[in-house]
Amino acid sequence: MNFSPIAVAYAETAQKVATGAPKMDPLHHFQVVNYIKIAPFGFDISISNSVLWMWIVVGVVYGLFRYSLRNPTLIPSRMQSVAEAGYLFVDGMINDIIGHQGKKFFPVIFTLFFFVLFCNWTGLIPGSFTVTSQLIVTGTLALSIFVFSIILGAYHHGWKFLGFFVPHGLPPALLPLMVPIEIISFLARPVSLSVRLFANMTAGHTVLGVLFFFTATMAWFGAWLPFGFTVVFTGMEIFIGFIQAYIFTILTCVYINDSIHMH
Amino acid sequence: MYRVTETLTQASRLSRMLPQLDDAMQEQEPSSPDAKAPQAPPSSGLGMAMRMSTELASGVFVGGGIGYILDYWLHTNPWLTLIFFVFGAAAGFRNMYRCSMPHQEQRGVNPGDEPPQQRGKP
Repeated sequence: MNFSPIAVAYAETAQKVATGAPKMDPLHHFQVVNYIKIAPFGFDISISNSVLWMWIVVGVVYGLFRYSLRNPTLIPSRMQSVAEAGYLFVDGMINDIIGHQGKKFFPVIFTLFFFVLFCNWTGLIPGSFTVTSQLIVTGTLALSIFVFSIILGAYHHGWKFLGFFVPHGLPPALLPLMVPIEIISFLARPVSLSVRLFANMTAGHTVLGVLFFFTATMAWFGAWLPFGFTVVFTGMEIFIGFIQAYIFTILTCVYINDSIHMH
Repeated sequence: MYRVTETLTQASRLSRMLPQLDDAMQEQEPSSPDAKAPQAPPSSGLGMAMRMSTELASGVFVGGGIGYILDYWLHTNPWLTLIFFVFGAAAGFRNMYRCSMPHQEQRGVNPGDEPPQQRGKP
């Protein structure tokens, strides 16, 4: 008899599952679980772990800034410098990209940056839930930014905003070719914005899940290797969480800028 | 009462010193051009790479999706999907190209604005 190795592996896995041995399931922690079911008139507004962690993130950010600025002094204390650095970071980003007219969008961009940043970071706490690993969350954020930028463009330029789809200095013969490309590239904005954040968070946390599983199931003399990797990857994820929040925010600035100063 | 007046004098002294501080900082600024651009984090190269990869993919995805929906609607399988797939790829490349030249395309020309701090650019 010549069993193929795949069949053997499958049989072994099935046996392990049947006997209750640990099963690798690195996607388990992305599952949305409803804690309290609320569905008035068919609208599902249940309190899930995703909702709970969004509340926690909002609470943490609010508490952090409240605590840091509870007693502001001219020469900042340590926590106050953190809050001020966050403020200056977002402020510099807006000044760099939108320029002078970006000041009135500061609150929304600041909120967005810290919400995404702390969603990414709180997700690294073992046992927590990564809100930004849900495409529906990042998609909603990206779509609202997208719709906001369209409304802003229509408000500032009216119908001339449609000229956004016509690149400068284009020979009229190329218009039927370039306008669909410009429209698709415009429509691709929310997709790339949301998928990037979602994919990075999901991928990173899946890797962490796999490595933690190896650490937990290996014998002690082998476990140090995956454990070392989890340490490295956790640091890496902190970094990626920051980068992703930064990209998300900077692209928001770019889209708002495009709506204000059409080119 | 004494403490209140003391704090008030200190506050007024500080508020008188603030303009001086501003002047001193502005004197400092031109001499240190490096300190003027703290915003771009050291990692924006990696950020750029991450942006580009998804820009291309999402362009193709959106183009193909539009083509597929139009096909479904107009019963012209598979022609519009093919055409819009190519358009989508072109749009993806266009977005990547846009990404790669941040300072001309993204800032745009802001005629009404005061020029942003010159950074070695003419």
